[in-house]
Amino acid sequence: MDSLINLLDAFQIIFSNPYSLMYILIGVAAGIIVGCLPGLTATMGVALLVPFTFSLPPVQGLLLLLGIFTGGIYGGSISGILIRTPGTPAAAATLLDGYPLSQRGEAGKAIGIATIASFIGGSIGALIMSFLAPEIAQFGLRFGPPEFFALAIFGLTMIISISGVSLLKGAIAALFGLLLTTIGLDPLSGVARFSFGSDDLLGGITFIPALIGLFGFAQVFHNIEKMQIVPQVKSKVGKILPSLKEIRSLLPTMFKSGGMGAMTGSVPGLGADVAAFIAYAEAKRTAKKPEEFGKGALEGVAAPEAANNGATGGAMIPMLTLGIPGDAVTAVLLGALTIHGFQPGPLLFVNHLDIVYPIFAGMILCQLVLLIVGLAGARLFARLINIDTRILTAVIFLLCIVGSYSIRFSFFDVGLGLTIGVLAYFMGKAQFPVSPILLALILGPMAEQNMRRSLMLSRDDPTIFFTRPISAIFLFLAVFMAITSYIRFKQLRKIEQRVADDAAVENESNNG
Amino acid sequence: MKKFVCLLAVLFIFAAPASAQDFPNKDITLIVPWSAGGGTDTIARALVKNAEEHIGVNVNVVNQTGGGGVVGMTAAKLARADGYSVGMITFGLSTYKLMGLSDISYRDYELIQLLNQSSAAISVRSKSEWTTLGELIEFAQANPGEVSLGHTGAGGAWHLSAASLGVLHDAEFNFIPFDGGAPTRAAMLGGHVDAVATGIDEVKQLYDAGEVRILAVNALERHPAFPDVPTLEEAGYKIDAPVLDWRGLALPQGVPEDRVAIIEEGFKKMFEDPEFVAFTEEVGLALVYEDAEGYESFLANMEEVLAPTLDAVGLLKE
Amino acid sequence: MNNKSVDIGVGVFLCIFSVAVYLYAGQYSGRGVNSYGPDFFPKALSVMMFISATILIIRGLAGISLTTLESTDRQGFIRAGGTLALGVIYIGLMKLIGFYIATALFLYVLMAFLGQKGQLTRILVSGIVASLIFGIFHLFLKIPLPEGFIYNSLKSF
Repeated sequence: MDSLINLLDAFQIIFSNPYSLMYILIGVAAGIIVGCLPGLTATMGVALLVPFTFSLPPVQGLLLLLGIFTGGIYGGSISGILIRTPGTPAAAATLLDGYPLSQRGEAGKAIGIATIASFIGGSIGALIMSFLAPEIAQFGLRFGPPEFFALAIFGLTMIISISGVSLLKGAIAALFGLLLTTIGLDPLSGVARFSFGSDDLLGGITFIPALIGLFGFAQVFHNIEKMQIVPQVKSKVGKILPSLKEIRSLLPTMFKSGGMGAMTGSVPGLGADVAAFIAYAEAKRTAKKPEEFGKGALEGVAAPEAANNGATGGAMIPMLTLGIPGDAVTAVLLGALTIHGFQPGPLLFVNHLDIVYPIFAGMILCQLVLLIVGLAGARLFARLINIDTRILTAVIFLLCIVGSYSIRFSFFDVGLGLTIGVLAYFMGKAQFPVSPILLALILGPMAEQNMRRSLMLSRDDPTIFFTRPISAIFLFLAVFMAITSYIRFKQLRKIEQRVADDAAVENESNNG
Repeated sequence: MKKFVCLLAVLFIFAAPASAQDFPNKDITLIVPWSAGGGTDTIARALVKNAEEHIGVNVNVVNQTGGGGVVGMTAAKLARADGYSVGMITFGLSTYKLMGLSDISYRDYELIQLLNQSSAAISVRSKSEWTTLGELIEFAQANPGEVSLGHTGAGGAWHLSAASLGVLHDAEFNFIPFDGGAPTRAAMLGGHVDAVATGIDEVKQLYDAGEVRILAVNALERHPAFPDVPTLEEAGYKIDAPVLDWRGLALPQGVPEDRVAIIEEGFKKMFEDPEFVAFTEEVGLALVYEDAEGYESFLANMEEVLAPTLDAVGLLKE
Repeated sequence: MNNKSVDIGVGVFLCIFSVAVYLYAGQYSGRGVNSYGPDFFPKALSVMMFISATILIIRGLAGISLTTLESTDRQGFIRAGGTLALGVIYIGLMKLIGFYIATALFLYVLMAFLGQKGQLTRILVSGIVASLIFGIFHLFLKIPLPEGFIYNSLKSF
């Protein structure tokens, strides 16, 4: 009950400054812009705007940053849906179904659903954070190296769900991605691997340029190749937002994914990107019509979006209660709080309730503002792809170049992005899926480091993965997910095969 | 085509350089080789918070991460030598060459000043059975390899600091490297490792909250923010030359001398800014100033201290 | 080229690649503190890669392949290659004449290359987009963009 009273007090504190709402609005809007530009992630947006907050009162400064955080994670989905280039890593799962939807002219609907899902997921995350933070934080601490390894293996089984037509090709893509993650300095042994003496390669394959290459550059090359043959897709005009009925049918998915996202985010080291993929795979596994996934299923947009915004609230929990950030964005927020004179940690809840509860209340308000801004903007955003494709493609190509440069001001990264882009373009030609590479890039370091770390702890005894309960549960879940997803996959292939055969028969009879 | 030429002309006018004024006449960039939100980054941002008062322009922090700091420090070394790019350099610079990771060393820079030195602390969580360093080390001596000791990365200051303790006093620890300070703390709190070696300031919050017990600090004197924590010598395990983490500022070589002087003076003022000093006290960071000369001899000495330690943990590249 | 030969070709390449990775990773053995050192993961992955690639080859030879190779539009393919080349030139130009002018020029040329008609449209779009990006990235977010060799030599003397 105390938390409720504190929370209501916090709303009062926030509204006692007439500019508070304005800062949230500015933050959310700036976050959406930063988020939907490829290469500018929510992490960067927050980091870049920290100096602006020095001149503001702490609460208002934090509201601005929370707005950017929320808006940034959401904004990534807009470019994912419209141009198949996720603005932030967290939106990489959204484009799997968001882009096909926009190719059907339903970009407005996809963005509308993404907005509502973000709002619901984000609210769940914010509420869980407000009322259960200390308990959740203790749960997160139970994850040690073996648990993280089991979790990474569990995550890697999602390859089955995102492999498309051939599991073998998906597996090869994932293995390739995992090998890429071994490039660079190995933090466990201090050895430089596959760096061939180059300082740039010692830094490893940077994630953001790789992401832009896999999706952005590859899509640009694809679009340019097909420019003269395939007519440009135009967004439908008129009533473009999702109907109430559609939203209602998606509500269970959104609530479930939002909750899963918040839990995933609260484990230190797991961020919105992992949460989104887990939710996507789970939604596909339990969907009534899994065959629609990858072709524009509404659940395929709702699940990852609810999860990644749910994860924002979740990731705040260990940061605030323990001073251990849940992901990269909260790491930056931790730095910002520290500079403002509020060092996150167990004592924050004792000494600075005056800042803790406004953060909670601010997160809730951010979701509301996000809903309003997002729905108002959906129509406008959807119109963006109606711009002449020759202009649009040129601008996207430019943004991809600038984006891969900006993550650490490195031309090496631009070259890396372009190289991976060319590779991904040819992979698309030979029908190798690229999403498994992305998943491997996210989970690879987590799997490798924690496997080796666990075996250091147990001194080469591999039973450590099965004797610790949480680790054993996740490994069991991984096997379970793999088997059920595989059965689903086989069923899907049969259905598709039948459809293809029917079409062939029809063609023949037509010809004959 | 005419229009195009006009456009170009307009663009040139817009982009034309402002008439050459005194240095600095535009924002300075501070390259931080570690990611946003980390310890080094937070210090950098706190340092330049009031830059405009002290040097006349803003200083923007940019993070160029990767390769255990190599990427960012190389970028600072290769930056244009006009004084507008300043690099934050950190402990790793003392080890890259010795570990065979990269050829860069402090000799590649125009050194500005040392900012701080941090000492390692050996901590356990408050639920732990060990209450003093003596108990921990005696147990490790009796049961070689039984005590798991987490640290923030192979070849890092805290790893080397703890390793030299173990080597000197015949205690065999099972070293578990994590990727940075935050996961190391999480592993200790969750009881996944028995003890951790981190910078003493990194556990200040948890120490103040009573969540961890700091057994000893690897320094010659007690830390002012932790008057109750004994030094290694006081705990009965003397170490001659403690491995210290350090952070400092440097310019690429070749910056005109007058500009170097302006930068030196400006950053010294930021360093002495009462707000920055208050911040470092709050987070438990020990500021240590050395001018360029003192800094250089400190770094030269550092390499000599580190070579045998790196050799002891098998990370020295011959 | 049909799908079968693509599968076999890719499979053979990956087999060679995985053997190379395995052998190269050998130099890292013994560098870790326990038996699962820095060489373990790359070696394990390359073994799995080798097996997968072999299956790919076998399936290609047996003709069990569901996928079909996507057709390529020849002219379009050349255009995509040209775009890539323009991009590389742009990056070089950026270092020389600075971000702002290089970006405006690049957009103008690329749109012309892609067949965008209307001189005015191209000039307007390239000017506005370059200004917008410069504004957001450099002026607002303070990202250091290349100022260019020329601009800097003008400035420092």
